[in-house]
This record gives sequence, C-alpha cells and structure tokens, in this order.
Amino acid sequence: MNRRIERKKEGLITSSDYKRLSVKISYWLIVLFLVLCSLIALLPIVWAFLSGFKELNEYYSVNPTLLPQKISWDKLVDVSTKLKIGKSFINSMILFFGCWVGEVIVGGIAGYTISRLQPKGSKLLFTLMLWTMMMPHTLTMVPMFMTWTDFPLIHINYQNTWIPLWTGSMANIFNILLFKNFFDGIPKSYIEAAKIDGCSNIGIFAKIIVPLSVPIISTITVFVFNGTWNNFMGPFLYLKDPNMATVALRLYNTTQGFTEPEQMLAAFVVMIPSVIVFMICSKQILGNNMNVGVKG
Amino acid sequence: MKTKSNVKCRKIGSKLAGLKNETLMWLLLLPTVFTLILCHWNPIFRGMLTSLFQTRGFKLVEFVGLLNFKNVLTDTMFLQTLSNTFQYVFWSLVIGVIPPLAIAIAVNEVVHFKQGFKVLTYLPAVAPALAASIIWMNIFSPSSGGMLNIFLNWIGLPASKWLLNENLTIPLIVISMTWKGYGATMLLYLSSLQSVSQDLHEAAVIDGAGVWKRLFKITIPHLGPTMLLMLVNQIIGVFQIFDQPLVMTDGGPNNASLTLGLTSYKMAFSYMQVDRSMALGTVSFFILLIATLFYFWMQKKLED
Repeated sequence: MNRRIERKKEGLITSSDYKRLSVKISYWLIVLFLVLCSLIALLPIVWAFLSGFKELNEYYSVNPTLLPQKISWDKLVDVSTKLKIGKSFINSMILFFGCWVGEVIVGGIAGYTISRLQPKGSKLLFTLMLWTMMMPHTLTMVPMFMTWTDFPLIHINYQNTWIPLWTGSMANIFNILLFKNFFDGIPKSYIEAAKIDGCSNIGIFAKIIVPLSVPIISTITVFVFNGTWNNFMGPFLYLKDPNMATVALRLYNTTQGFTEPEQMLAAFVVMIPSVIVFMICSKQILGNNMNVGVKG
Repeated sequence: MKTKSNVKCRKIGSKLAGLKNETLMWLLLLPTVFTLILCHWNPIFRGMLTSLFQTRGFKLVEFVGLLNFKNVLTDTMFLQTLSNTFQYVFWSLVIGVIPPLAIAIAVNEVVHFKQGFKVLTYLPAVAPALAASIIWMNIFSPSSGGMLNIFLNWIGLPASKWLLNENLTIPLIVISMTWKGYGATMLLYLSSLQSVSQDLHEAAVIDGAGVWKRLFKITIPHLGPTMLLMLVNQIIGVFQIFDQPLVMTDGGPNNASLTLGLTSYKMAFSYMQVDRSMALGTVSFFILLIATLFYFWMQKKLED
C-alpha cells in the first residue's frame, strides 16, 4: 500500500509529507471522500434499477422499503416491449448513421480543407464559424421548426423524414473545430514526403491522413452516438410518425402513461448502451481533454 | 516573342488551374457553408423577423413593429420567469461550483484506485440527460415511493412534496443538473491540474509550506483562470436551461420552475403565440450575447 505513495510524483501530498500522521489521515479522508462521491454518482443508477423492479403496491406502500421484493426478468422484458425496443433501437441507429456521415465524413473533410488545403477565404469562414458557435441558442428551435415544416422557396414539409435531424448534425461546428485542431497537429513533413514520392492530394488524404485520424474519428463517433442516443427534442419535433420514434423519444413519452416503477426501469434500460459505450471508450473520453467544455 | 507569349500562356494556365483547384476545395466546404447558413444564421434572422410580426399558426400575418416586445415585457409572467431563471443561476453557483473542483483535486491526489475513481465519478456525465432527469424526478417524487420520502419515513418524518414544493423545486432541479454536469468540468480541472509544475511544490516543501498552504498558494491560483471561465460558462449555460424543467416539472408547480427558454417553447408549441415566443427569444438572445461578449473579453484578458 505505502509503496504506491512512495512512488507518487504528482499533486500536493508528497511522499515526505505522508510520513506525518495528520497528512496520513487526510490522505485517507480524501480517499473516503472519493468513495462517497462515487457512491453518489452511482446512487441514481442503482436506485433506478432497484425501484424499477418494484410492484405498484410495493412502490406506493405506506412503509416502503429500499429493495424490491424480487428482481424478475419479466419486468425488464415487459418494459422493453412497451418501449418497442427493437423498432426504436433500429430507428436510433438510422439516426446515428446519418448523423455519423454528417459529422465525421462531411465535418472531417471540412476540417481537413480548412486546416490543410486552405482555399482563399477559408480563414474568414473559420473565424465566422467560431463566432457562430458562441451565439446563444435561444432563437434556434422554433425558427428551425418553421423552416423545416415549410422549407423556403420549395415549400416542402420535411416532418417525418430524417432530413432535418441529419442536416442538423452537419451544422455541428464544434466537431469541425476538433478535426481542424487535430489535422493542424499532423507534422507537415509527412505530407511533404508523400508529395515528393508523387502522391496526389486524394492519395495523401486516403493513405496518410485517414489512418492517422483513427483516434479523433473514434472520439467523435462516441460523441455522435451519445448525442443521437440522448436527443429527444429533435425526434419529438420532427418524427411524428410513431414508426420512426427513437429510443430517446419513447423514453420521453414514458412520462405520460407509464407508472413510476416502469419509468425508472425504462430510464435504466436506455442508460445501459451509453454506459457500455463509455466503458469501452473510457480511455479515449477521459484521456482526451479537448472534448469537453464549450457547450452549455 | 514566341517564348514570351508562351510564358504568358503558362501563367494564365496555372492561374486557371489554381482557380479550378480553389473552386474544387470550396466544393468540399459547400455542405458546411450550406448548413452554417441554414441551421445557424437562418434561425437567428428568421426568429428576429418573426418577433416583429403578428403570426397565425407559424405564418407571418402583419408587421406590428415592437408590439410583441411590449406585450412580452409588460406581462407579469415575464418578471417571474426572469427571476426564476436568475434563481437557477444563483442555485447553480451555490451547489454546482465546488463539487467538480473538489473531486478533481481529490482524484489528482489519490494513488489508490485512481483510474477507478475517475471512471466512476465521470459516469453521470455519460448517462443520457433525459434518463437522468426521469430518475431524479422519481427520487424527488412526492409519492411515498420516492427515495427521499423513504428516508424521511425511516426517521419518522412526514413525506415532503419535494419537486411540487414551490420553494424547493429550483434547487432540486439544480441538484440533478449538477449530478449530470459536474463530470465535464471536472475533466477540464484535471487536465489543468496536471500542468501544475511539480518543481513549485518541491520548492514550497523545502521552504516548509504545509499541505494546506500549498493548496491555497499554488494549486488554487493555478486553477484560477480555468475556474473563472467555467463560472461564466456555467452562468451562460444555466441561463438557457430548458429540458430539465420541461421533463421534471413542466414549469410547475404554479410556474415556480418556469424558465425563459421553457416559456418561449411553450408559447410557440402549446399556446400558438409564435410572435411572442420569438420576442422573448430575442430578448434572451441579447442578454446572453452580452454575457458571451463578456466571456470572450475575459478569456482574452486571462490569456494576456
């Protein structure tokens, strides 16, 4: 145990401090604090699981208990059917892949063009994009709804199509910024060496840039997944056809017509994929600090 | 003579090729420019334009000048929602500023189970916001099955109304937002903490400075600029809060948790007062624009 402390090189408490009793106690108090924080972080998720399995009379009883009487698989299946999980999962994936194309392919090419190809005026465009990104969003939802339900000039109602949501994803400036920053960091010598070897612009992009960008592409893929999986307002406004409802929209609709335990279990079910994706990609998310801030 | 014209031709040729290249490159940017105009600038202009018209459904009917603004600003509801929105900001400053800072410093300090603590404390940030709101809504549920009411029942106290209590509803929503939001800020603090020079600490140790003294004289001042930026960022973010009250209380009880954003949404989609909704949106747009400019100004000052 203490060997780790001796090797500790970061932070306030150094190994020499640790020899003092008061510091020793405060170190373990810090550990205790983190255990408590982790518990608080987990508590709502565990609570959703526990109270989701309660029977109605159990949930509303006068002397309620923390644990449910039994954890039955049937309840999970029941709630999943009520969420139409198969169909809505497919819809969420359709939304995800469309948005992925918009954010990773279109956004990546835009980031590359601004970072490397730099046509005349692209610097100005980039500055404009930065300013636009910081604009308040209080005037977005309603005017966009007006635009999509009666598109200017051609007067087409795009409700019940994926176009509003997919197009909206292309407008994600933050991702283009991430791509641009990433491409800025690729050493110029790589590209020049390839040029000397007679590689074309497209060849450079396909053979050098894309393989190098796997980390940024996978990071943004995780963002796109979380963004589309969590988005309920967009589908709520544009996907009125129940056959197109995504998982998040179905979850939003549980606030009407589902009992409280059912809501909790539904929320728990929807949380599972997010947590799985996080566990798989935790290194990327926690290691890469560019990815946070800016929004809200 | 011949060579001269040849050179000229080649010059024009390369210029043309350059132009062709530029056009091709701009073609790559075309989707981005298109969506930038369509999804960012179009709604701002369209929203402001709509605020100057009378509307029927989502159609503009008649130019009325600033009448919508007058109606919105003199409405008693406006003052309440504005004060509610400021209450959200106030409570988020009381509840939400310390946790990410404290957790980041603690995670940076421990050597046992460090990665595990990092993953666990970041977990709420990856939970879908909607699912989190629904779960917290049930934790704060006024029914006897709500988690807090179970605890009250254990100690022998009567059940509380929690979210349905006008005085509690905003702080409770802010607690749920803090649970969901601290992770992102914590990561920023962590990366900033990793850039504290260890030499500084070592020098302070030699000078005999204790742990607490180093915390307040080295660590906190180092985090200062990040903290200030996060603070302004948080104020701007909370000012636009919309979906948590929509899901958890729908603005109730008695409009006690209604925010500017939620009012604007409800005016447009529930009451069909698109013109007023956009007038309200424009007002909050300019309030936030001032805050955003202040943010940029401060960022620039801190960088210098």
